[in-house]
Amino acid sequence: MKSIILGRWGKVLRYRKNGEDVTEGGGPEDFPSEKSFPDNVVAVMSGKGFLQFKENFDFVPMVAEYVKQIQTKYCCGKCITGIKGSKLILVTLDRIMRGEGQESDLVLLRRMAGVLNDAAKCSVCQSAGELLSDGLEHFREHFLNAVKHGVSDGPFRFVGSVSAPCMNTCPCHINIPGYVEMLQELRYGEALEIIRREMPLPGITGRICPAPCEKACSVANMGDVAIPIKTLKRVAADYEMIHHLKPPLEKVELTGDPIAVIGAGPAGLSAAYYLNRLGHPVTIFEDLPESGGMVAVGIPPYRQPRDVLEREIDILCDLGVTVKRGAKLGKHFGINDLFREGYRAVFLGLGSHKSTPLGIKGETDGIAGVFSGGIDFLRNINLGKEVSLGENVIIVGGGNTAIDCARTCLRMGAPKVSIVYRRTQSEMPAEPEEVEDAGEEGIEFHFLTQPIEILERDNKMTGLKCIRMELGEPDKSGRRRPVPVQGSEFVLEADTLIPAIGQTSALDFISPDDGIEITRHVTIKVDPSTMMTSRPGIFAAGDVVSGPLTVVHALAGGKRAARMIHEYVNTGKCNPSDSQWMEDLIAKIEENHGVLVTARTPSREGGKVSTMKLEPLERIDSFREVDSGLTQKGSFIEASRCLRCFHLILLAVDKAAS
Amino acid sequence: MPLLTIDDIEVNASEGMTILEAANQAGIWIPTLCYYPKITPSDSCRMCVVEIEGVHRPMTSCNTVVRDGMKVHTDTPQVKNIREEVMKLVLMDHPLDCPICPAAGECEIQTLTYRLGIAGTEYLMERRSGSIVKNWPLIQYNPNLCITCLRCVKVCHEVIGAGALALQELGYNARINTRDGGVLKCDFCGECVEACPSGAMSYKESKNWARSWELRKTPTICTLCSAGCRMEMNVKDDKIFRITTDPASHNSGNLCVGGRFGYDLVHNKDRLVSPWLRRGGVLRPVFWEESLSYVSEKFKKIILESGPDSIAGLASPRLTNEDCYAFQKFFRSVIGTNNIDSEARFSFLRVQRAMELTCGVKGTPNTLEELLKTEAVLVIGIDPVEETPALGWKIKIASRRYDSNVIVANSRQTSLDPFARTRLRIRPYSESELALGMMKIILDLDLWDRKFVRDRTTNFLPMKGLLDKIPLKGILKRTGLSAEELEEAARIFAEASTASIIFGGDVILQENGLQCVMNLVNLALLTGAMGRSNSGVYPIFEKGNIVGLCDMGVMPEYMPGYQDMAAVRDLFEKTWKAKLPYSKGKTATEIARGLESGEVRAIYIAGADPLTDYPNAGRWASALKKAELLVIQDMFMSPTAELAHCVFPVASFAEKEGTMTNIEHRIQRLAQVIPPLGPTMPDWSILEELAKTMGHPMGYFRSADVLSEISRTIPTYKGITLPDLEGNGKILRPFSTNPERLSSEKPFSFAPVRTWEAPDKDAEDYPFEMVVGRSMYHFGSTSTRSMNLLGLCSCGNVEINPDDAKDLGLKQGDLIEVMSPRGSFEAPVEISYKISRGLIFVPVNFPGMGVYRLFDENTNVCRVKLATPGKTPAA
Repeated sequence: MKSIILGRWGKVLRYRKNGEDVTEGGGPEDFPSEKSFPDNVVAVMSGKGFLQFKENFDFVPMVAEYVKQIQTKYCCGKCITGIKGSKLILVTLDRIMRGEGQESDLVLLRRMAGVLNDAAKCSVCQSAGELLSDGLEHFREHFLNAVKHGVSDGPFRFVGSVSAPCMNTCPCHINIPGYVEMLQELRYGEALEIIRREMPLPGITGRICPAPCEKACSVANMGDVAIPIKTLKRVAADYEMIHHLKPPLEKVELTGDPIAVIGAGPAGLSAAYYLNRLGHPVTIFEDLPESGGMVAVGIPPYRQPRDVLEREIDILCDLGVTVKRGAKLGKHFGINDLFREGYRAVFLGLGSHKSTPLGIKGETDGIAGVFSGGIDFLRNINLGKEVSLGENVIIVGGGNTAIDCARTCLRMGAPKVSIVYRRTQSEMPAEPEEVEDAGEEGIEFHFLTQPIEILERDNKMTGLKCIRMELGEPDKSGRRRPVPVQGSEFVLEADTLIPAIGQTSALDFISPDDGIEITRHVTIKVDPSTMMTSRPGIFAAGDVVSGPLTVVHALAGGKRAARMIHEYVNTGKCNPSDSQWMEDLIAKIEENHGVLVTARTPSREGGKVSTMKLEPLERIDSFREVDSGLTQKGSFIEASRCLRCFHLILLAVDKAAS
Repeated sequence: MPLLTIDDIEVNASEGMTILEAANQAGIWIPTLCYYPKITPSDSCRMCVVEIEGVHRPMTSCNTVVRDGMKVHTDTPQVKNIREEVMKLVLMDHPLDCPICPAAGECEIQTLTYRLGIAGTEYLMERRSGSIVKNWPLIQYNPNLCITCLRCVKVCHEVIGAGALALQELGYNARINTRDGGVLKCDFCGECVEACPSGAMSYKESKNWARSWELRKTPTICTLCSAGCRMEMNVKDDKIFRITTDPASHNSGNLCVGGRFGYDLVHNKDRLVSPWLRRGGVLRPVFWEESLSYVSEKFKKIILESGPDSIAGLASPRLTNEDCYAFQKFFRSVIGTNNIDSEARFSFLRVQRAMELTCGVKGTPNTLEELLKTEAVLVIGIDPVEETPALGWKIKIASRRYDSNVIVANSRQTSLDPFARTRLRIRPYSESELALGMMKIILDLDLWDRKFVRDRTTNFLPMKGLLDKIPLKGILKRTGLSAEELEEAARIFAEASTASIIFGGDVILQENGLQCVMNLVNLALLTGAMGRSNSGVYPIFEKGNIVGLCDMGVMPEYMPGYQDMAAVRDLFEKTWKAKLPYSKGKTATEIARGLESGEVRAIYIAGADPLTDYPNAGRWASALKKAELLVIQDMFMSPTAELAHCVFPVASFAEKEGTMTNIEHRIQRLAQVIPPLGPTMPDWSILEELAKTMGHPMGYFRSADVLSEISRTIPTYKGITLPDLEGNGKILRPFSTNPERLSSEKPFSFAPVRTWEAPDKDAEDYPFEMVVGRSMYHFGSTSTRSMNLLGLCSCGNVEINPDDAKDLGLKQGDLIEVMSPRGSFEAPVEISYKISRGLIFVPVNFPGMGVYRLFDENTNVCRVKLATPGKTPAA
């Protein structure tokens, strides 16, 4: 059983004394749990501190490696202290490790540790100073021993990776402080270059990403307003777009193996983009007449203008990705056909486009005015199909789709639009900003209301019979479960009903013979670190794997799948690289404990940087984009608040055990 | 207004100020190395750390914004220790080569080491020995002296928008390089050298013979273009060593390649150092007396035989206000004629006329600074980054930092294209059509400023009538644009709350220059982009003092200050103690005609080179040959001077005192930095000497005497004295020929006018259209005497589209002959995507080429054919 022998985390010290766990300055809860680290990890060093798990550990080579990684991989070269201080430390440590050191070198190291800690520009180099001080204090005998005998190769190898709270929280792990700095320097092109390395659709995510990064932002954790990371991304993307600039992406010669991608949604586009970057000819097969998946047919243009999407897809096509529209898997071709046609691997980004029915009386009776579901409704509208609404529309549900349906109905001219939701506003899964915008536009909300029957006359809907709810005990999701209040039935008048309570994937065309395992939630089962399904050579990501989730999750899944497909077609195997392993590890530790890179202080929500929005009355008569983001001037000011809280995380891994 | 204490001193700061700025303002010293006021903080040197009460770690003051109640300490043991340690780190591997370092004496590392009293460093590190980058033109980079403070990278990117430099590699290996790692190829503004705190970036040409403390710095202005940037000439032993700048100048201490490197033309070995007189058909050097009396006698004889109107004069926008004033006074009072004009006839005066007709003012009232905060900028027929960099850079900053929407309309790709929201690659000669097209769409889409048009303008209905008559299809055909492009431009321009139009040679110099300018003003009026701050029109002219030249009355139709002769005859006759001519003088074109007919027998040209600079150079070449007497004042033996009977050598801009007026109507002082070369004299002084020789001295002993007279006779310049012009000079109000109109409620008037199709008669035989303009590194023809600038661009190349080059079998650098029905020249080919098919671009800066000789009268576009010399022309 692994345990922390000695460690410092933030300002808290932890060690074992007489077999007891002792902490000073805090409690064990201030440390990441040792259980989150794999067994072969011997020690950890990071911007937060260090953890020693095993006795046979030498501080000197590890801290030397830490400083070396900083010097060669992460020191930006933009601060004198960082550049020269860490170099001086590295040279001195090298000398000591070669056995040519003197005890006086330790004095110099201590002094330089102080200088780095006090005066380096960002946490990367500062942390080297802190760690060196730790070592000189707690592992002095390691240093003295090194001075005497030098240090030979230990039984460990080191795995390092750099992250930041925002970066780690972003499913795509974009180098956020990096691009924010570029925006501060008015280098829009370079900002996009950094973004596209990890995420190919900046114009889209710059608009509709729920931006988990902003919730992790250190600036927000310190009580200020979070850096508007999402909108900054959009400013860069919009700059490129409105100036008609060609993205600085070079065409790669496509000499790799042909790969088939099913579905031109975010997951598919992302997979296609990164496969293209890795030199594979990619063909995307899309069922719908338009590319973009849920972004194209599920999100209304007032949130996600079509030209932005079209441009981002055009960029992809210009790079050499082929998109075949109107080609449906299971109808026009099967998975095995693809392999027969020479595709070496298949990526399934099928999304979840099937509305979940309400399951109430009258829903399936073909009553005029009753729609099959929110997602179907939005898809028809977005594909330009004729859809007729009544005068009084009710939408059932509390997610983004429900809000999108409601605001769309308003823009189509429905005089009265209301949303019926069985819990209260604070339990709504929709983005609070969306709910607020909808309220401003005049949409009515009926909370704690559950529909139970559709009323009709002459096969036309006349109303919705509902029952009042109250909140009971919390359910698995942590939200309080709504319970009906007996005898509280009432009728809401309405001539149109759009149920928008959820969606699933349609996977009925996958047969057991295909060898693709499907979960009981009707999603495709994959190995989360490789995105490979139970059938080798077939990968999947996005909503079809996770159930309905965000665009950025789908993009991240597609990207990981692309890199794994590359590995798979080249080597026949599929193993995450060290950096991917680290990425996942850090994310996992963060999810469980939130202490590796994120400040532990709970986020005091300092509000949000306000963007430029149309007035409610201006919004509702068209599908014009509501939010126009930030000005360049504004973005420059916001970007300059970023603290660049990069952290290097270095693990010593037992060579034998790995 | 945040109130804070710094070292227990109360400081009133303004919102958004950094601690460092607040401390500087309060006179509290905080040491810095990487701080540079022109750019955003790099916070890389860590030298400016301070302690703030309640903040647990030291903070860099350069990027920490003040807050009310903040208590800052700049001098605690902790921050002192940090500074000392960081300085020791800087010094641990910095070569202490101060005796041979170009920055010695003004090196900020040196100064700070001294000031912090650091005697040495105990940190041992191998001395840096990277190789010095010597293969860039004009600028040299020594990585061993570099502390990667990023000032150069940031100033290049943020201020100049060139983005030529970048920080490359990581950690200890980080160093500055060009963005692509190749040889530096940029605007060569030299801002990187100016910004460098050490000797890492240095001027290749300025070294070894002067140390910084030996230099005498004299503030003066750059005369090469009409932005009039302030600069300091650094001189030792009467030789200009280099140019530096003052950040407090109106150009924020920014200079372009011309100001920074063009100074060496002053020391060009080909400078004229004596008067030359043609005797026996050959020009020979003579003494002043001989040449002056020769010209004087000739003038007297001609006046006696044919009257004063048989003599004419041409002046140049290269001259100072004083030179120009003395020039017109000489002609009006000593010779007795109004036959004076200049190249402003083909450019500036057209704009003046258009402005007068539409806005009732002579000139344009906006400052360059206002461009920064203009929402939409239409840049048409010019590449301001090449021609007036001070203005071009502002547009780049506006586009990136202040969300300005730039529309570029040009027949070739410009340096502003990457910053533009819309790039309109228009056919040459179609600028006026573009303006009409935009207006038409703005009316159709109902985007015009009804209130402004109703309340402030007249003549709208005829304007609308004209627009209604013009079919959009025709406009699209003429301009070569799609309806979408035109609509996008129209929308961006009309929807902006403030908008400006910048136009240049392509617009002004064309045959329909006047009409074209009027249509641009019409466009501004239709959208309300006139008569308010951050909105207006900015004409750009090639040379330094074109505004002053015209203000001084170097034109037949007006006395100085655009005053009517009739109204001010008394004043001037009294001031000049002479009778003034009654005859209507001749314009430049009329002078040429006069020379051809023999009506004009003698011509005196001060600073101008019609054979190179005038848009009908061919005609001038033959006309001038007919002159009985051709007198030239110039610094160099120009092609025109070679035809002269007498050439007077003049002092350069570094060698004379005077004033100049820039495009924003800012009058500034030009300082005499070094004594005139040999026997050369300032232009005004030569005219005074000649006047004396002719027996009518004008009474000037110093340049200030002329200014003093100017301040008495020109109302706008009233009361101006040299001390008023210290620092950034003074911005004057534009002239109004009709003050009542200006103060009326409706001062603006539309001037509906349609231009006609450019004649295409030669299209079959001459398949290419030649567009002319300026070379990136040259200003007029004078700068082609600068070895520094010639090193960047030694000759004029013929820019041609790669596809055309392929068709003609041309390779980069091939010599090619360009022919029009009027003449031809030879030049090397430069294959470039900047130019569209069917067009070629040629710079007009190089006197040897005589590009304008190929042109018809009075136009800036001409049809040509191309041929490899010695072969038959390709059709």
